[in-house]
Amino acid sequence: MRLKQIKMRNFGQFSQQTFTLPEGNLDVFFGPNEAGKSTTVAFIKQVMFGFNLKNTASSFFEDYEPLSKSYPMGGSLVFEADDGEYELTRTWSKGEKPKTGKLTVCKDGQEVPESLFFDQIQNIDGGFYADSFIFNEDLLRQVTGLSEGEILENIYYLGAAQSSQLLAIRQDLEKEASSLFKPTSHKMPVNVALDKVQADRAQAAAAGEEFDAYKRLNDELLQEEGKAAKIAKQISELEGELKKREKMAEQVQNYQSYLELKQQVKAVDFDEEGYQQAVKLNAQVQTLQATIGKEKASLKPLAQDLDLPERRKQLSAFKKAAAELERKLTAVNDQLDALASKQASLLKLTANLNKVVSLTPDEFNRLHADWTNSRQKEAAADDQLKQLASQTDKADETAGAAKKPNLLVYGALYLLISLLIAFIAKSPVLLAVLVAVGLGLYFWQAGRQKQAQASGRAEQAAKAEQAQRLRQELLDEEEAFARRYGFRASDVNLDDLVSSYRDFVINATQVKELQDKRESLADSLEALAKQIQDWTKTPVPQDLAAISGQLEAADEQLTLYERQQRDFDQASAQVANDQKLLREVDLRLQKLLTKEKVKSLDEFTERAKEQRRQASLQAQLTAVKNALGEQLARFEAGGFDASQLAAATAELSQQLAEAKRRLQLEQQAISDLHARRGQYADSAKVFALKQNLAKDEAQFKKDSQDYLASLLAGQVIGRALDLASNDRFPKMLKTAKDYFSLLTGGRYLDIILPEKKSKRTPLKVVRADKKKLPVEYLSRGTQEQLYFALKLAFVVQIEDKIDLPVLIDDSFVNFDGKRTGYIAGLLAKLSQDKQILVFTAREDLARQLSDAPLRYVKED
Amino acid sequence: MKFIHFADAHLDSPFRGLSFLPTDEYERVRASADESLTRIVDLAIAERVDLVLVAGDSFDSNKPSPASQLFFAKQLQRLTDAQIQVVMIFGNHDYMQASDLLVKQSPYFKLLGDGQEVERADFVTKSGFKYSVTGFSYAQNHIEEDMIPHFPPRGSEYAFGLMHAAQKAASGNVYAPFALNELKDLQYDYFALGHIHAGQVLADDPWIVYPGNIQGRDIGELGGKGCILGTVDEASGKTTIDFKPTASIVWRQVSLELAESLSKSELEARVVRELAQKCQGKTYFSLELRGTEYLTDDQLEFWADEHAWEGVSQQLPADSRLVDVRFAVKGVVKLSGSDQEAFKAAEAEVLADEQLKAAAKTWLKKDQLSQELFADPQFIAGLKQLVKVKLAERLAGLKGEIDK
Repeated sequence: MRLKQIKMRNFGQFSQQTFTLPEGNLDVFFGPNEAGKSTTVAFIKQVMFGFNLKNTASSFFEDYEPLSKSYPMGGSLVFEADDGEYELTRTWSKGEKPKTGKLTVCKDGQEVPESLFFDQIQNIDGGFYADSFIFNEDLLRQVTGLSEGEILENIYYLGAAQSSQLLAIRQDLEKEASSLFKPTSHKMPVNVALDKVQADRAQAAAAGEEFDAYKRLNDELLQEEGKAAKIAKQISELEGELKKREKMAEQVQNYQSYLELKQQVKAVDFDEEGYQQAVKLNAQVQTLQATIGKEKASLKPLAQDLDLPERRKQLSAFKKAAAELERKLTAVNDQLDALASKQASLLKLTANLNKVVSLTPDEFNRLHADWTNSRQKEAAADDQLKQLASQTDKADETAGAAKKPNLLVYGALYLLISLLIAFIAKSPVLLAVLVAVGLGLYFWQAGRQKQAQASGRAEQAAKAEQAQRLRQELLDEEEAFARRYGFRASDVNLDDLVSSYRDFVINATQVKELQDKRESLADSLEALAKQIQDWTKTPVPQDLAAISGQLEAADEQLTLYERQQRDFDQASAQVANDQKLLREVDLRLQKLLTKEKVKSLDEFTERAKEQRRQASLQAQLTAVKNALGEQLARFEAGGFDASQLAAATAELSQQLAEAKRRLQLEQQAISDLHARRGQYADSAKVFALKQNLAKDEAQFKKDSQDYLASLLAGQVIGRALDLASNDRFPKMLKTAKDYFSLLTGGRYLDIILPEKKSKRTPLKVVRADKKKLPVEYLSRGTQEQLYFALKLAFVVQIEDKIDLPVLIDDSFVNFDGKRTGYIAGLLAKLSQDKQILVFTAREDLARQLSDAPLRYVKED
Repeated sequence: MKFIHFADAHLDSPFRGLSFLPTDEYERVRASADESLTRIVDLAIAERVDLVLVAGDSFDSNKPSPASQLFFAKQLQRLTDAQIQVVMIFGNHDYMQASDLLVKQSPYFKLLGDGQEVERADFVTKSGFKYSVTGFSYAQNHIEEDMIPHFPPRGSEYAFGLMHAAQKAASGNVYAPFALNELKDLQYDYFALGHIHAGQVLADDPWIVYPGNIQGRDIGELGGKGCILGTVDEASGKTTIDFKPTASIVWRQVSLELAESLSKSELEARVVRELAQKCQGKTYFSLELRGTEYLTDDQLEFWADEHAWEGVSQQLPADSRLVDVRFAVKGVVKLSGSDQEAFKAAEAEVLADEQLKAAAKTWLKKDQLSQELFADPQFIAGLKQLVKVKLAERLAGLKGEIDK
């Protein structure tokens, strides 16, 4: 938009002033100081953006209340735009609100909403306009404080919808980035992490030393072990040498022994065999003497002086007699015992025998007669009784017949037994006798039976009627018998009793005979006892057992005497024999000693000892000779130096001790090395250091990523703003550089804008010699040139968005001729596209810029 | 014949970003690489393999700690004692000399190509199967030359190649750069590579294989780690391979997309559920919260705090842990039309390589580490992500800017 007309009414010093700007873009207002140039600049700004009255006063646009105190104050600006002509009229009277005044916008004479105008200039405010479009001395001073940020903010304002917030975010991100890393700091996290990493790295590199150290120690160890082995070898050699020396010393010793022995050795006349024999004989002599002595000592005289064989004979006779007596006595006693037993048996077996044994044979015969008588009477009585009773014969016959077979049976039995006995005895005589006896007995018995049967039958028949009387008589008879003999005749089988009585009597007779015989034997015993008592001279009881014991004792005694006698005889014979042997052996010894020409065995023994000593010496000599071996010949030929040998040996010993000491040191060193190496073997140091490095590297990575991300995010926002604002800032910067170069005649090439203003990061420029200079070191003139370059570049850059005139208010005071030429050239060039209003008091400049400058006319 | 191929044990190597772990847990992490190596040796012995190929970077530096050296030597001795042939090379990290190794001398141990000379060694298995191994060791940390032309033509025996190297593709490759075709042209039966920590099979006829490293050390080393167990059919010469995981700790990345604002406890429960589902043995998780626009400032602060992760870890199975949280925007912050476009364009411009480099200029100058980080695509990707997060976070502050 081109400013076409300025109409000022009651504004500052002006009551009414109108400037109609000629065609063209470069308008020069010329007037001396105080002519109202700055007021005009302020007017243009304030009509558009409001009056600066008291409380709304800005730093350099002062209060322009009219000097005339005429109100309403204000005026209008007429712009020529593509879509028409805009007239902006702003007025204010005292007491009106707002104090910025009341604005009316007319387009082509028609009032329109003010936004119609302001939308075309991106709704910028007065500050923006002043900062960007107005050049004056006050604003010039701000050049040292210019920062990218501010310029950017102004530029981006024109692009992104939320540029200020975005700029704030960008600033925040930049702040964050610079709180994470600064190129020269040591306090920011990235820097701190890096410092750590570098320190760790040095340490980790040092950890490599562990490997080296281990290797070194390993090598050292090998070396030391090599050394130790060498020393050990040396020791072994020395020990070998020393052994040789010791052997040599031994040989010397041996040789000396050899010489000594050689001197001692001499021959001895000695017959070992003879000596041995002599010793043996002597021993025999000694033994025999000893034996004889012993034998003699043990030869005791006998204690008795008896005719032992005679006594032995006598004893035998006694023994024989005693035995004979004993045998006889035993036989008698046995017979007596047998008879007694027989008698007892008879008494026991035969009823009533005991009542008859005391009877003499006559008395017994009477008994027999009595009994027979009794029996006969009884039988007769019986017969009579039988007859009387008329008993049948048949019964009697039956009884008689019954008795017959009995007799035959007994006979046959007897015959059989007799045959058996005869057969056993193998004697036909005995058989005959027995048969005869048997037959005898049979016939006797048979006869008796017949007799009895006959008489019985007669009596029965005869005296039957007298039976009762007879019975009485018989009873009386029986009573009489019983009273006489103690038993009833009817109770006894008298035949048995007779037989037993006879046996008993015969036995009693035999007993008597035997008892007599025993008496006689007792007398013999007494006689024998008497004899033995005389013989033994000791009392002997008349008892066969005692006699026998006495005889046994005598036998023992005799046997002892006999043995003693035998021993004594033998010993005496031995002594005699040994004495004879002794004499023989001694003779042989004496003969031998004579043969060996020694007086005694002791002398012979002495000679033997000497012989032994010599043999020992000889053996030693041989041993020494053997030990010396070939050395003997050398010694005998050349001799030796014992002291030299000893010295050499001592030296070797010393060397050996030294070597051993060194070996010990080596071994100590080896064990130390082992220990030191061992420390490394278990060390986790390398890993720990590397881990530490890795940890810090990770931290560095993280922080760096954070830093770079913040930095880049900020840049993205900045770049986005650039793009959204059509790259105005970079373009502007480039233009500014061009302008600056142009304005300084090429003395300066570049402008470096700080991201934000601060003393430490001032705006800098780059001189043609590439030297960077902070703006404060530039001359005032160059500063002004820089200021122009930047602002003009900016304005030109935003021209498509905000097409308002540039107001340059007397700002070239410091421009010298040459510089003025440059600026004039630039302005002329710029004004081809852009309206520039120059307010100056410098006529040369005014003329240079315009053929017809607008002049201030003093108001009336 | 059977063989094991492993690489990049990086013993002694530190773990990044885990310094906040409790001491005992940290010790477990520290021991994990050793454990993995021990398991590989256990496997070799159990499988009665004939050969173990060690494709470089067994140690993290050319001056490894004696403790690591001794540990490594001990494990190798277990193999040689079992009469298993070990063939090893040095990589760009452990460029040492054969004499530096504390490994016990054994006919079953061969350090190949000491002094950076390509060397071929011939062996015969117990069953009489002939094979050769050809390769070289690093003598310095960089090898700019393509080493493949130094490899001899293969013989009639089964041929292994052993090399620590990277493919030519990337510029500035100083790790014996090779072209895949060159390697294929050699026609070795099995080329055992090392250097790239992510296991990958570059070719299967013939085999050209990176086994990956043996234990993931940070979130850049995701997934199962271990060794390759190879079986050669001695009659046909055909080889089959099998990856055997041996690492104690597996790293996983989990992304959680937010579609709405959640309360603190809701979000935590969701994170726990999500991670628990993805636990496979002891797992260390890196969590990406996508849609930070839905998080309050308090939540952002909470999830950025390592101590908050501990609370999540406590609820995970198998001793697993959350050890890393990253934020990403979904791009729901809306600016007014032209501004939106301006931002998009500005972001693209500012985050372009050159611009990035210019912005980071002073920082880059500070240290070699800055340059290394800057050259790391992951770092740059993280950085760009963070820029977006920061922008979103700030712009969300502008009234009514979130399009919820």
